[in-house]
Amino acid sequence: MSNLLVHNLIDSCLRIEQQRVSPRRTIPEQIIFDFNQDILDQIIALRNNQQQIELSADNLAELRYYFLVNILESPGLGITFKTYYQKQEEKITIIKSVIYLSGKGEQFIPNEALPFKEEIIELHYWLIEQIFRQIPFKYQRRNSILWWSLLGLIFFFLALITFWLMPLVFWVEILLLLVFTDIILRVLPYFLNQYLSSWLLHQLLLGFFSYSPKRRKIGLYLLSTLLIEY
Amino acid sequence: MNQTSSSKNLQHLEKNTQQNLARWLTSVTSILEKITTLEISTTIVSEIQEEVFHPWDAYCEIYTISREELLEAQISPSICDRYLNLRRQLELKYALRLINPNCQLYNSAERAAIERDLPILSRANDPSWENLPSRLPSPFAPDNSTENKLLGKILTDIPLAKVLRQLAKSKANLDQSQQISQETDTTLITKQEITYAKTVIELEGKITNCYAQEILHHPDKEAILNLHQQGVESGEQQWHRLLKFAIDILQRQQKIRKS
Repeated sequence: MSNLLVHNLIDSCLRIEQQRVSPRRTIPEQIIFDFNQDILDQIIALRNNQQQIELSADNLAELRYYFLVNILESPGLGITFKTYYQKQEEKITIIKSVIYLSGKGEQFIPNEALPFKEEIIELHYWLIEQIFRQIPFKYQRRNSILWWSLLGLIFFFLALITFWLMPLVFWVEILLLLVFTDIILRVLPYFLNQYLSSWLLHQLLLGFFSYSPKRRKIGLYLLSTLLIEY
Repeated sequence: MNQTSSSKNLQHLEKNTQQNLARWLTSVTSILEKITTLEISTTIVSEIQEEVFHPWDAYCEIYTISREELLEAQISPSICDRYLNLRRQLELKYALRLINPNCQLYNSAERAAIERDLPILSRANDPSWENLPSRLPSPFAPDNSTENKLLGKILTDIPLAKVLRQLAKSKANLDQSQQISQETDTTLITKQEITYAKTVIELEGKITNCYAQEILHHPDKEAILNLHQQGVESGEQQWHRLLKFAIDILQRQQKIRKS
């Protein structure tokens, strides 16, 4: 199955329920899987083919945000996953599982779900595993294209300033440019990590980037791509 | 003049960011330090209720809990204490927010009085807290009153909103138990939900499995045991990954703060 089809399949059964905590702000409160027989069959096929599920960028951003808020803002509350199964007109709750950072896991299974049990619950946990696999941030390495592009851009501006605005002897200009570049190479990772990382986390949890899924996505993108491996 | 003011704003913003980060990191670290076991449980319930949460309604429900009201409603004394415990917890959590300098609800004037009352509010099985004056604002105060504005702040304070949600859930469970106990005269918990299996994995490797007696005669005994085993395997894996994610954030921020 192509990545696009897998995205569509997962988007059609994965919901992140939000809780409104203020007139302007909602935060994720639980992850829902909505299954029906058709979706189940497709997911079983994926699992049997040992195909990994890649979450869409929107879902991944919102899930990362849920984990971040849960761990930093309210570490006493767990990450909740719930699975429903649509059987004709009836929607049956199959399982609710909660995992707490404090070292506790709970699974609640309604009596009425017992006849459906193992296979759907297996898929519930398989999807959770797929989510957990993708949650960690992938920080940029110092030799990444992004890092070198950023340095190149800074070098370009430094060269412009040195050669155009400083009427000095050519070799002095070259020397100055090398000194500036060396300083930037030392200071930039420190600046990005020291200030940008703290600021972004703060804005994601309480500030500008916390107000809508779109802003969260941008904030998380910045957090995971602009930060250099430290 | 403008420059001074914007520089002050920046300093305030920076200080605020650092304080919040320090608060988050401290609370996560304290949780991580206390971990000695991983405990996974499997509970069969009559139904998983849909959770509809309206902060104001939840606040009213918890705020109005009182011994007089419970006695009037002829609630059994054992459940009565559990209801009152919810009210005590809200009072306690609010008091803690009031003395937290990083919180928007911080009130330095109340600090001394709250610190005096905290030991009483923290005791779960001691009704003395009921004699303390309540600090919670009334949800029935007129619009635009100070109490009403304060309540607005409480309902938008994320940690308090989460506490309120937990308390509302517990109250809904108690209400359900109460309803069942009135309908039949049997034990509440057995009717409502049974935790059939619990596995405790200690960090040094010791594993303890506990099973409820009721599982011996359950028609779906094998299925429940299999589901529990599956829950343990998956729970262990999820917890490791969650822990790794939290530690990664923690280490990164602590490295940054040290540098």
